[in-house]
Amino acid sequence: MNLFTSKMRMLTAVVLEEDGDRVTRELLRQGVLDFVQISSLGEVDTSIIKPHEGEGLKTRLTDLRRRIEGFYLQGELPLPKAAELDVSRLSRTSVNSYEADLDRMDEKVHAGREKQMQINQEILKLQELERYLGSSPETQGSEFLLIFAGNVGRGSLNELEKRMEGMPSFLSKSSEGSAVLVALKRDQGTVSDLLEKFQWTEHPEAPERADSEEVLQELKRCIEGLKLKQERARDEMREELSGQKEKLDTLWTNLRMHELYSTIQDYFSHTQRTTLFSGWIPSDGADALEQGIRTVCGDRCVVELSEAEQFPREKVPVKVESPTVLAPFTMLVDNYATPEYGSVNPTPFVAAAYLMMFGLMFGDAGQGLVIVLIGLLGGKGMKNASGGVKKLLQLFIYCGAASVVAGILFGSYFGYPLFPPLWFDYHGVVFGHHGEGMVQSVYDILKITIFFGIGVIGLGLVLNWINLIRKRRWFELLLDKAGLLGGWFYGCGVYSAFYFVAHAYKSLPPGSFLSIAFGIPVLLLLLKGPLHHYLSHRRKGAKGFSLFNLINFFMEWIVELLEIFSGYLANTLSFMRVAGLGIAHVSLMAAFDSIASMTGNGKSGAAGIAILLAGNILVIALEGLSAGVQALRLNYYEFFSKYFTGAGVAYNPVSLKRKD
Amino acid sequence: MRKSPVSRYGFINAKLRTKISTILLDEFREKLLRAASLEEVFHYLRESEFSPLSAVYHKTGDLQAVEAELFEKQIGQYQDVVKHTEGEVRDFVTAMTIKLEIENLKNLLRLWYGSRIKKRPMDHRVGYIYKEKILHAIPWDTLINADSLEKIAAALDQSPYQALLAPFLGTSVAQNGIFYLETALDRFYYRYLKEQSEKLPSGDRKIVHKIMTAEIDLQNLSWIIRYSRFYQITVENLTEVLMPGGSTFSPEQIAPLFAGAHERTGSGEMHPGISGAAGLLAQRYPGLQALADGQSGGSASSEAAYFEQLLAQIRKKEFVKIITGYPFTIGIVLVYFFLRNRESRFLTGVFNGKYYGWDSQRIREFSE
Repeated sequence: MNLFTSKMRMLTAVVLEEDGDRVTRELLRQGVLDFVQISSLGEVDTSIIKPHEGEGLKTRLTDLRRRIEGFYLQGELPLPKAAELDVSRLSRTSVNSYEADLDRMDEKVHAGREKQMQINQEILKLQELERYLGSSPETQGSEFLLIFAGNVGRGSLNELEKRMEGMPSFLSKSSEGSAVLVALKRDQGTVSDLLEKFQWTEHPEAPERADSEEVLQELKRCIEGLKLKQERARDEMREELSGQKEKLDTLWTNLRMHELYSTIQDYFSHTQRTTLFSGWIPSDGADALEQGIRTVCGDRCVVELSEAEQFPREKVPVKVESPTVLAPFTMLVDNYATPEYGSVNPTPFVAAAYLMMFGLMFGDAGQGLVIVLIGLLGGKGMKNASGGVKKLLQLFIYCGAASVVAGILFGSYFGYPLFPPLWFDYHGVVFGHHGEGMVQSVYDILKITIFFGIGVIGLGLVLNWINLIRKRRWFELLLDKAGLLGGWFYGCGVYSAFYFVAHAYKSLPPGSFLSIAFGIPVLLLLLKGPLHHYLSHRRKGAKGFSLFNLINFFMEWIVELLEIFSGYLANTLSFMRVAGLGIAHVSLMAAFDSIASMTGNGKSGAAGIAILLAGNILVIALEGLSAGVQALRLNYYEFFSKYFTGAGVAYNPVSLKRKD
Repeated sequence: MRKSPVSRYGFINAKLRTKISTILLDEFREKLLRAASLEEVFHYLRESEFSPLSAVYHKTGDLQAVEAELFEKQIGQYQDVVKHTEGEVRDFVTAMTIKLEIENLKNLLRLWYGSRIKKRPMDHRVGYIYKEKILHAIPWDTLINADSLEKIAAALDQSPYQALLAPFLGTSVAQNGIFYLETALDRFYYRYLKEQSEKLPSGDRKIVHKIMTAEIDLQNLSWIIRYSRFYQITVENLTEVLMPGGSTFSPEQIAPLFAGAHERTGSGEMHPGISGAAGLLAQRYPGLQALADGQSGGSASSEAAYFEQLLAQIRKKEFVKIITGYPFTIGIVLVYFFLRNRESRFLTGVFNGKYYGWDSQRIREFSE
C-alpha cells in the first residue's frame, strides 16, 4: 500500500504511421495509459499536426455494441467478462455485416414480441367474455352476450372459429360434435351473418348447455392455456437468443475491442508519416510500456517520459493504491472525491477512524456478531451482486467485527453483561452504577468521545501539513486555518478549555499564556491578507493597498477568526454524537429488557423472548444504520474538511477493463 | 373554524416533497432517452418505482398494456393524495382527479364511436380501458356495449357527465363526430376545477388561478393551432372549442386572425393568425415577446410543440417559484401533479419513440 497517491509520469511517443496499428494493440493490451490530446499540452502547429478523424466509426461501433447488449438483456444472458477480451483475437470488423446479423436477430426477437402481444390481445378478448359470463345477476354482464348452442350445417366448427377470430368470441365444442358459441351483442350483425353462412342450427337443449358453469370453466382454461402459450413465446425468444450466445459473444467482444481501439486512436495526432500520442502512466509501469512500444515498432520510435512535477498538479491524474482488504473504505473515499495528486492516501486513516467510531457507537459483541454473519451470508448468497453491493457487505463484516471488539471492551452481549468488561461497563455507567476506574459517569463517556474527536481533528491537521509540505505551499502551511497557525489556535484552545473545566469552570489560564496562545496568532492572521496580496501582486508590480483592499483584509480577518473559533469548537463537539448514539443504544436495549420483564412470564416467557428478539432486530437495523451514517458524516465533514481538498482527477486509462 | 395553513398542509407538504424526490431524475431520464432499444428502457425501469411496467412488458410485449398500467398508476397517485387531504383541499384534489376520469371516458367514447359508428371492430382494445371506479359510479361495460349515445347518457346517471351529453342527444353523431362532445367534457373539467378552487382560502385561490390560467392558455393555443389547419375558425365554433378561464383568448379576438387558415395546405409558412395569437400571448406573458415577431414556420404539430414548450417553460418557472417559496399552500399539490403528469407523458413518449425507432431528440420534443 502506498501512503500517498501513486507517482505518475507523462509518456509522449512518436511512431511511424505504418506502426500505428501494432502500437494501438500494444497500448490496449497493456491498458495503462490515461491519454491526453497532444493539442492540450500546448500550442500545436495544425498545418503539420492533424487530429485523428474517426469519430463517426466509433459512434457506429458504440451503437452496435449497445444494440447487442439489448439482446443480452432480452435473453437474460450475462455479458462477456473483461477477462474474455483478448487483443490478439481482435479481428477485422465489417460494420455492415454486423448490422445485417443484428437486423436478422432483431427480426426474430421482434417476431417473438409480436407473438406475445397477439396472444395478449387474444387473452384480453376472452377476458371480456369471462367478465360478463362470470358476472352476478346484479351487474347484468350477461345482457351483453350472445349465446348459441348448436351445430353448423355447412363447413366445420373450426372454420367458423377461424372466421370469428377478429372479435371477442368463444366456441366450446362438445365431444358429440355440437358447440356453444359465446359472442358479444355489439357484434351481433357480423355474428348473425356468419351463422347464416355456416347454416347454424340451435339444439333444443341449448339454454341448459349455455347456462352451465361448464362453459365458463372451459373459457377460463382456455385463458390459462393462452397465458402458458405467452410464457412459452417468451421462453422461445430467450432460447433463441441463448442459442445465439456464442455469436453474440464474438460480435460483442470484437466490437468492444474495436471501440476501445478507436478510443485510443482518437487521441492520436498525425503528421504526414508519423503518429503522435501522449498520456499519463503510473511510474512503476512506465518502463514496461516504453519497452512494449519499442518492441512492436522495432525501435523505430521516439518515446519520452516526463516527471509529473513539470505539469500543473491539477492536470495530473490520480491513482490511489490501497490493499483489497480496504476496498469498502476506498469506496467511501471515492464517493466523496478524488484526492489531489501527491497528497496523502486517506483510505487507511478513514478505515481506522470509521471502525473506531462505529465500535464506540454500537458496542455490543452479540449484535456485532449478527452483523458479521449478515455480511458473510450476504456475500455467499449474492455471488452475482454488483461490486458496490459486495463492498457494502464487506463493510458489514468490518463494522460487525468493530462492534464485537467494542462489546468485549464494554462487556455487552445482546444488551446483557454476560462477561466482565475489559475496559468499563457501559450499561452500568449509563444507569448510574458507579464502578471503579476512569469512566464512572455519562460525562466521562462524553469526555472520551471529545478526546477521540480531538485526536481525529489533530490527525487531520497533521495530514494537511504533510500535504502542504509535499505541495510546497509554504504560505498555506504557515497561515491557513488548517495550517500551523490553525493548529496553534486549536492546541491552545483545547488546553484552555480543559484548564477551564479542571478549575471548576471558574478560571481561565493566566493572561500571559492567553496573550501568547491567542494574541500572537490573531495578529499573525491579520497579516495574512496583506501578505498574500503582496506576494501574489509582487510580480505584477502593484503599488500599495487601496482603501478597499484594507477594508477587505479586515473583513476577511474577522470572518476567518469567527470560522476558526466556531468551526473548531463545532467540529470537536460534533464528536459527542458518538457518545449520544452509544448511550441511546444502551438505553434502547434496557428499555426492551424492561418491557420484556413486564410480560406474564417475564423475560423467560414466550412474549418476553419475542420482545427481546424484536428489540434486538430493531436495534441492529436502526442503530446499526444510524451508527454507519454518523461515522461516515464525521469522516466526511470533521475529518476530511481538514486535509482532503478533493481537487484531483481520477486516473482512467483506456483498458480492456474499462466500463464506460 | 378554518384550519391554519400549517395544519392544513403540514402533512401533505412533507409527504409530497418526499414523493417528489422519487420522481425520475433528469439523469435517469437522459439514460432512458439514450437507450438503444425498448428492452434497455424497460431494463432501466426495473430499478425504479416503474418496475411493474417493466414486468407487464416482459410478460405481454404489448405497449398498450404498459400504457394502461401507467394510467392505473397515475390514478393511484391522485387517489393517494385525496386520501391524505381533508375539507376543501380534498374537494379540490378530487376535482383534479376528474381529469383522469374524463380522459378514460374520452378514450371509451372514441372506441365506441369507432366501433358503432365507423364500424371498426373494437377487438381487444376494450381490455385497455380502465374499468374500476375512479370518482363516480360509472358502468364502463354498459357504456362500451351501448348501441346509442342515448343509452350511454342513461348509463351515466350517477355522474355529472349525463348533463353534458344532453345537448348531443338527438343529433347525428355519425355526421358531427364526437369532437365537440370531447371539448364539452374538457370544458366541464376546467369549470368544475374553478368552482372547487373558489372554496379554497384566498392565497390558494390566487395560486390555482395563476397556474390554471397558464394551463388553459396553453391548451387553447394548442387547440387553435391544430384546429385552424383543418376547420374554418368562426366565433361560434371557437366558443365551443376554447376552454373557459384562460387569460388571453376570446373567440371574438381570435376568429378574425385565422380567417382562411384551413385553406393552407403543406405551405412552410406560419399562418399570420398564429403570430397574432402569439402577440396576444406576449401581452400576458412578457417573456414570450419574441413570439409576436413570428418564428420559423412548419407543420401544425411543430408550431404547436414550439408554443407549448414556451408556455410550459413559463409554467415551470411558476412551479419553481412555488416549490422554493412558502411551503404551506396548495402549490405543492399542483407541483406534484404537474411533475407526475410530466413524468407519465415522458414515459409514454419514450416507449412509443423507441418502438418506432425515433432518435432521442425527436422523442424529447414530443415528450417534454
